[in-house]
Amino acid sequence: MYSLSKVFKRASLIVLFLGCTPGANAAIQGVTGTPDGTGVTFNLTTSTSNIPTPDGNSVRMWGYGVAGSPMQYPGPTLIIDQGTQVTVNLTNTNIPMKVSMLFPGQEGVSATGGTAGQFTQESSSVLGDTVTYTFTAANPGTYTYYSGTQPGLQIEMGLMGAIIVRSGTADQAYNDPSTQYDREYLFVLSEVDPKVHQDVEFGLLPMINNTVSHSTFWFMNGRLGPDTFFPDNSSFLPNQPYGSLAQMHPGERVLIRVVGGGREGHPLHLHGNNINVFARDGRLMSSNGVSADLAVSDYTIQALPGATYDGIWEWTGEQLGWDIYGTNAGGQTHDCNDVAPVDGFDDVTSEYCADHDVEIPVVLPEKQETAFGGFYSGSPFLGALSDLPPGEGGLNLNGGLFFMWHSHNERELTNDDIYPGGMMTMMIIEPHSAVIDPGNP
Amino acid sequence: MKIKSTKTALASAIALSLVSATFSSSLFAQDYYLCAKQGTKTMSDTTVIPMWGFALATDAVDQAAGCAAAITVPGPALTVPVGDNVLNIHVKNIDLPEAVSVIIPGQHAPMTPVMSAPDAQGRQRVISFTHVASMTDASASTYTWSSMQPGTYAYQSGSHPAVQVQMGLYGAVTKDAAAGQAYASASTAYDSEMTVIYSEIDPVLHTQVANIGTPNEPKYGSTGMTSTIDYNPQYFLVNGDDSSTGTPIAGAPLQTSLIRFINMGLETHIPTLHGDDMAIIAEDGHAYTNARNQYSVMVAAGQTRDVLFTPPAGPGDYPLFDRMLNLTNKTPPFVTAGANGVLTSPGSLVTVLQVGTNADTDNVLDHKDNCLLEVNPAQMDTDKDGFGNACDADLNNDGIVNTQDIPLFITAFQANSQLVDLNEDGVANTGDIPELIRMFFTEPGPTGISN
Repeated sequence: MYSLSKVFKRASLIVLFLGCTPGANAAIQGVTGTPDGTGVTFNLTTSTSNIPTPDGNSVRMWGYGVAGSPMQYPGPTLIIDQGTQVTVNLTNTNIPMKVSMLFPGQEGVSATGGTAGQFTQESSSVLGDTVTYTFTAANPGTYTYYSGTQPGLQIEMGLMGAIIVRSGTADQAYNDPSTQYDREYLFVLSEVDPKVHQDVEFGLLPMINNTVSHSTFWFMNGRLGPDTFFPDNSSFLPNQPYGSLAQMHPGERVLIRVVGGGREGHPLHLHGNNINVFARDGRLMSSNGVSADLAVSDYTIQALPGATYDGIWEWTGEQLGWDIYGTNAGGQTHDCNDVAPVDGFDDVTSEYCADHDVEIPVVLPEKQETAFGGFYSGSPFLGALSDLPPGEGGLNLNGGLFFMWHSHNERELTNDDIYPGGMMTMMIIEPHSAVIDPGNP
Repeated sequence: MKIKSTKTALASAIALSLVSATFSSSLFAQDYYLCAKQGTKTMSDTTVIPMWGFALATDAVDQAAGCAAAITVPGPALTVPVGDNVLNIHVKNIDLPEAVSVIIPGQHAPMTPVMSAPDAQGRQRVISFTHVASMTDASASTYTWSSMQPGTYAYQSGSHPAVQVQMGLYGAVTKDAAAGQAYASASTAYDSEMTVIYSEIDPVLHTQVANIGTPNEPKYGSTGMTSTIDYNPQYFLVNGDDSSTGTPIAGAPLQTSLIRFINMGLETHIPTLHGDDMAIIAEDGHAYTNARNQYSVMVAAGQTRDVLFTPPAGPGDYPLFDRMLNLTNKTPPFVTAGANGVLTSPGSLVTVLQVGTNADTDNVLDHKDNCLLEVNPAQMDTDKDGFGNACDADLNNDGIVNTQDIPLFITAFQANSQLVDLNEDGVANTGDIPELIRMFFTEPGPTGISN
């Protein structure tokens, strides 16, 4: 972590970073469509753009976008209520091949308009036609969509996105109470082989050989580390609107939705705690079709291309053996009130009361003996800020604890061989007093 | 794509038993006679690839004579009938320069590994997992499994497998727990089954292996590739076909198809279904306690996964393709066609599962069949009115075949127009006249195509 944050600071990203927290990442960003009388309609277009990479490169991409808005990578996240009849009108603006959409996990998808392709109806930028896909979002969960036209090329070029189908119960991923959550994050994982994108940019489509792929960029929500830390809709990333920085308070249940968006598998490795994965491909992992009795606890999600995963991640500080807020004598005066419900945790702060006012069981080193990272607040205690030497720290506004969430295929932590970067973000455990999302504090 | 109804599978299995079964104690044993031979495979781009493979002999005599049949890759599908515990595979190596063998990962068999000669330090390497069949052997080698478990398995060479499996020495071997039921649990019952074997071909590797014995050409293992670490597949195959444009029939609506996925390539493949999900019931021939419902299933190299696919009511197409996106071969990766510089690919690890009814059993499902009650697999419809030629002698398109159509028939007949090729043999000839008479005073059709 030390060298990592050093690099970030050298890159002078600190100013930008400071400008984006707190309240940087509201719930999952996406579009909910326009009510059309029978359900909702999404009007999407496909077009070409270049996206910047943190190593200074620029990569030609093809992407879906909301009609009238720029294309984006990944495509707009479609957020739909279970049972809604969905209409997607797709118009190919300027991609020099026909394009289309497939919706794995959705049943009874019908396609009209455009011309018939290998798998479904396709839209041509020359003909200017529009394809209409309709289906009913029968099952809640996390899904994906992608092009069904020459998918080996077009998904690589960026034509993919996520779909979230919300269950009938608010803040519950599936129709099972064990999938209740307080906060949710989506991670769409993908990669780019710049050679293919160069060939497309230079008009060499017939020379592209999709039997070979040598990716050098690995994306989280369409961004490369450290761009992953920046807020949603950052103005300098006009085609990459989705950030990946995750924040939570102790005791919250965080729903993690993962989509394998590219053509490689990625081991998404969650530091800090295990995740209880209870759904795959938008289907509850269940022996009886009702409850998630086949859920699996793991610390790495093997995210396969095209597949989706849902799980609950929690962090409480339970049984760390010391008071995460520090002792009262240490300066942060606080109580631990476990009245209702009696669950071993403070009713407000979710502090683990058995460890209340317990000293950290080591002698903390003096500051002159310590190497710091940009994410160190100066204190090991949640919500505590302390002095640091000039030039140290500065990326931790609330005294939070940082856990790196990343691909554990370590080469994927680079941008074209430059470390750090790639498929990497942070989960910040923020003190209960910190406002994370103004709408959902 | 190997598709057969349970009934046929059973019938052929019984037939094979009658032909080749021998008695082993009180139990039936299933015997297969295979030849390991050289051969070739012609790819969709006309490239001819040297292959090694298994050919199925009709009996021991045919095998001793070198097998009349050519090799197939994948090798012959071997089935062990319900109730049989013993499988014997007799292998004669006809002309492969390396000794070969047969193993079935996951099935119990006593193994007798073959070691290389000691090197200068006295060290030996395993060169075959079990006893081998060499081209210098006078008789076939026999491989026996005496407690065959139900499930989906692959047989493959157990000798120098990095090369020999890639060269094509593999195939499917299956056994059901009961008729129409894959495993012990009744929840694994099925109405029809298909086997989907994925593999890849690196043409350089095949050429260099075939060069063994040819002077001055790069040879695998010496003057060419030293190992499969440089493996770079350029063709991706479903059941040995690299242009998988086929559209197999996965069965009727609401009926259950068992799809046996086997990956005999060296890379991972992730068949992903579009339009429905699948119940994954088994892995490597072992049933899960609880089926897993997913739309995608990872099949690692050498692995088998079994899924049940039960489509909803109504006809439909269900694309099934490798989400690792091995969907094009190297040459030509693209074919340019049509306006807009539209590019299409020849297709690779792509299968479209067709679901529907098939009243005339011509393998064109009713919802796509332009003659619902005529066997017309070619689906000729020269006047493009939605009624196939086989059920359309209504040449003036007035809705009835009558005397007004006769002059049109004669004119078209004299012009040798396919319009009156009513029996779909490719030409307008006297064979079409009885068809005209048969359809006289009837309406065209019926057709399954709405327009």
